[in-house]
Amino acid sequence: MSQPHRLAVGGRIDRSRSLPFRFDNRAFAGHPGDTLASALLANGVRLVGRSFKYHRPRGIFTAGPEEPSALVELRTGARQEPNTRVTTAELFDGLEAMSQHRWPSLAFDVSAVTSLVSRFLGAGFYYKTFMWPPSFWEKVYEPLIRRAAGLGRVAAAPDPDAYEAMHAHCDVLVVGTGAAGLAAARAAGSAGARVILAEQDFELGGGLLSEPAHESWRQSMIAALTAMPEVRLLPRTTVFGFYEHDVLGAVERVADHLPTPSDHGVRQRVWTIRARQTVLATGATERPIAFPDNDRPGVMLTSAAMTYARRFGVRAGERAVVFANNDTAYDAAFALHDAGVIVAAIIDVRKATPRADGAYARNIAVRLGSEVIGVRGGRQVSAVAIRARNGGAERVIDADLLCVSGGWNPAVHLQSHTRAKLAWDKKIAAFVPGSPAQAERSAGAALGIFGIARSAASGTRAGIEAAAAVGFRQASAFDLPAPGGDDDPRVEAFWQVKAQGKAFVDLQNDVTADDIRLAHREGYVHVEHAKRYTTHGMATDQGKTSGMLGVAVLADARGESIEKVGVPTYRPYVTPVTWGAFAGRDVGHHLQPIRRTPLHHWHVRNHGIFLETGLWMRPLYYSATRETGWEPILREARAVRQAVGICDVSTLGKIDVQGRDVGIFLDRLYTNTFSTLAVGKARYGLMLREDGIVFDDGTTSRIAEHRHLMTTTTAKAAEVLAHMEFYHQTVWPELDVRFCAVTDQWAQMSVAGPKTRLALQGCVEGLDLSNEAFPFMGVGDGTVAGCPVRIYRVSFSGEMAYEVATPAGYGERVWEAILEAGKPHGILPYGLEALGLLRIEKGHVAGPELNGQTTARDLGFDKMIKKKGDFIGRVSADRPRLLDPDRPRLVGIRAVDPSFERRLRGGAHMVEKAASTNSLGWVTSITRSVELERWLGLAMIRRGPERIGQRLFAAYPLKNEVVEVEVTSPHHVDPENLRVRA
Amino acid sequence: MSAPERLSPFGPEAKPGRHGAAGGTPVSITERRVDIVQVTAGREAEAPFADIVKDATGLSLPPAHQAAFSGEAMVVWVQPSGWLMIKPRGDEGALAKALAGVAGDAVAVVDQSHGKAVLRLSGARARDVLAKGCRVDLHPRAFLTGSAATTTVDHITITVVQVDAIPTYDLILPANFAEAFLEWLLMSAAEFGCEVRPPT
Repeated sequence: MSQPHRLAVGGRIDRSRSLPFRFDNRAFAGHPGDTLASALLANGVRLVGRSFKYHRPRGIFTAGPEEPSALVELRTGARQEPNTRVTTAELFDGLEAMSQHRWPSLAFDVSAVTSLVSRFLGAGFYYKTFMWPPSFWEKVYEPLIRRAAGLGRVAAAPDPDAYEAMHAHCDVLVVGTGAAGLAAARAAGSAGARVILAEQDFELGGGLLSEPAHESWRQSMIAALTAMPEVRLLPRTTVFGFYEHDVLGAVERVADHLPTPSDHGVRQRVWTIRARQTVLATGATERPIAFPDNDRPGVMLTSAAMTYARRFGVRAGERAVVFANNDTAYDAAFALHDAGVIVAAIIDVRKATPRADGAYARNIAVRLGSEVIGVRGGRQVSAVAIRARNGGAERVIDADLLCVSGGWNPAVHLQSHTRAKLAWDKKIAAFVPGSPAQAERSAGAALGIFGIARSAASGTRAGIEAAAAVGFRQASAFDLPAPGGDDDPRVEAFWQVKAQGKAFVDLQNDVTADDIRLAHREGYVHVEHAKRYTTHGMATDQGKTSGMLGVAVLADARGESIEKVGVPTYRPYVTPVTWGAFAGRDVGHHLQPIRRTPLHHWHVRNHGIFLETGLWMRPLYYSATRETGWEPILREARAVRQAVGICDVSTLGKIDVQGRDVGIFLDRLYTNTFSTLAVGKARYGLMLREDGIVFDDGTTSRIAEHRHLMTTTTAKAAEVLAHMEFYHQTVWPELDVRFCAVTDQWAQMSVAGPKTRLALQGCVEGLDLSNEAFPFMGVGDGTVAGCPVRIYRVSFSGEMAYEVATPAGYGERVWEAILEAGKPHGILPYGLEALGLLRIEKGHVAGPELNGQTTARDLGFDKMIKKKGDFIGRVSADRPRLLDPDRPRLVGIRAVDPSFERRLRGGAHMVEKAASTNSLGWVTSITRSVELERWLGLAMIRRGPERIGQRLFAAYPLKNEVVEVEVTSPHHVDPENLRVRA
Repeated sequence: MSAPERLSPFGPEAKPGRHGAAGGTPVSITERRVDIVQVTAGREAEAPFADIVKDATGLSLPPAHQAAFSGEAMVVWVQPSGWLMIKPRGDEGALAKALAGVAGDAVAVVDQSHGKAVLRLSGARARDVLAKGCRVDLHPRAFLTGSAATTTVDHITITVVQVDAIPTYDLILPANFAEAFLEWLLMSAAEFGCEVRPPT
């Protein structure tokens, strides 16, 4: 397995070890230190993918994260990952990669014929073509487009790897480890600041990795940083977004360079970094020039070719032509020359440069004032066509590598995320960071500075300033690289060669200079509009290399300056981040924590069938055989109506309220009066929102003179406490009241049914449960099985009922003692479904009725509104619309047919005639009744109480169901309320 | 009153043993079986109450975002004029009763011994374990022995108290979420290895 394009010496790879890998099922080998890109190039693989729209052959265009073209599917099976840039994929033993977006093979791609009709596929093609008929979109056009376009395929199986989140804080975050980043981190670190230094590459050094002359300085800087205890180095970590309040997001590729993560290790982690100051030393990205066929495999950024030679010891081609508008390309050309690449010519659009002499000294031809007008070769560059810019004949130069340098764009993306405005730097023809909007500063090439020594000095300054800004003023000096001479890039703004053919301004989304001009002609003159119309700069690379070319073409078409046209706003993410990383540990049942009642494991052991209600897990019903349907529910409900049942109601919100003014406070909180409640008594209360709509309900008990225990619904527990805190802190701070959530302190169980007293008398000690001593709404303390209990005589089922509360740790013991005592009386545990059945039969309201739209009057609670005294919502509750007699109001409904065959459904419309479409209201809650042996429910019906006795229809058009019902009082069971007082 | 043994809110699966990666320097996780009473003083009651606590426990009420220790007892600030008093487990309700007896009407005393659970997390990597879910800066420059913060981790509201410089943290949790939080903690500690110790 030879690597024909590998240099014999040089670079940062370990030639003593070989790493086998596969690309498109062919076996190759590279070395530790390689990226997949450098290993492919070393093996002479030039064609690595097909383009998005035209399926044109594409090669490796860059040597970094800005890569637009060389995207592959990495790994196999469940770990397969699409759209991975070969230029950042670290090579490992056994790596498998497949080219994507081609069929049936990379070399022969059927869809490439779209290239032949491509002149009909211009900007806005999809918008214009696939509009009509509209019915075709979903069935025909979208599937067609999705198959033809799109990038790689995602794995079908669940990802076997773990991902996680990490939170970090620092005084100074430095992004990038080139000369500027290393210097900034060291300066800030030496001053004593807590520093995080993040680098997207697997090696620290940025551009220094291609500068052997500065290797010892790089190493000494890393050694110094490693020795600082408060400096954290994060290689393989891309800072992908800069958010409000100086929060930055980063993804660390912990194990992307390994076949599988380590035991108990994660694949990637997402860092949320709260930085007091940030130094953006993100470098600069070289940009290409638009000319016909500038996307052919073998066309490459000049700096990338140099990186492959110097860092990876790879010749990206054997015979190169360099096309440039600036002096940095000359250094790269000389590096290629030194690596044994024949540099056939430097085609320079400028009329003169002092660097030409260096080329001549190496016998490299320089053609000043010239331009590249085309490329020969389909799947790979074979020759380059050039001409003088002032006219003249086309000349063709044989070459297999065409290096392009159109100047450099400072990597301003992170700064742009903060909404800082960019500034145009005419000297380098590029946008540079403008005034900061957050606590950040840029340094080095990210600031438009060229040259290692000047970048290091800039980084040092930025590091000192950032540290000083947060109080660390004692930075120590350290050696900086020696100035390297002439760093002036002498960029001549030059963006496009105007010649016949496809000149790409976005390689990943296949946007050409002509597309931009067409968009302009069709009225998309604003850069943001042109971007969306053409998809220019919208691909995963966000136009990092060639985005400026499209802007320049648009500026040219508008006849305005690039500065005036501007660039589309950069948004997170700087480079793509996988969903898995963001999901982190929040997958499967870890999406949210499970909240368990103190009786949870009893339910589990005793065949509870669970339902998630919010975060809670609650037993729906109990069934050893895991029955489905109504049988277990009816069984449990009958036990309550006929004997006794026990239900876990620990989820009810419980708030301890203490203070000398509790009575006043509760009177203002509830629509009814609590200050008159006697110690040892409970009362049902209703709360309104400020707008007069019902907020919550529940019973509140007076435990002592200045102490109440409030219960809320399960769903509103936290909201009610927040509501109380808000009013106490902002409206009535003078009231002496203090709140404490005690939901978790208590296990609470409702014991209900005609035989409840008999059952409880068998286990409760220290409390007389007789009706005389402990009447309805009584509250008292006792013990069960040696455990303290507090018993509330309240009922949600309509039966005689006692709620037994015990400190949570005793929940199971008390529950089992009650079950034991109730056994002779036929006790059964009942779940949420039977609880619901019973409350609907009784006509108690719950979530479906307290739906945020209903008033106390709507629900028949007129009597609970006290005559005197203010309470929250009182004024708004009397708004005319809320008093409209035509409003839907709560009633009961019962199926006329008792056979159970035609079921009622929640959400059904109430109508006067079976076929009517004039809705009078809706069904809120339904159940099969054990008491009345038919379907029944609750409904909100216009002038409902006036219709009691009428027959209406519950219509459910989605299922073509119409059920005739009788309108009744909501209280289907025991309307006189005698049972609860028995 | 002496009541029967309480059931742990951490569930039947929380057994002592080794979890996660082997070797290295594992963190330890211990359920602390304690009594917890939440006290909330009215504004004018705070000063006299501080004296009462000092007399009763020898502890000064800590200022905001702080905890005070005395042997195995601890007082943690949790809200303005509000503290958690934590002591090794005694008779059911005794701590609350004792405090209520001396505190007077202007201080609300609420027993949370069953409503809250405490995990002690200790080890050189404890900070890194918490950083996977805790947004509070736990760096020694920002969070010291005696620091306390109430925050959310894995969607669960917890109070973090630094107990010593190892570092060791006491994590005060809502009991209904104790099992879910322990699951999160074991998952987050897995890469360093983790020793679940018998409850103390």
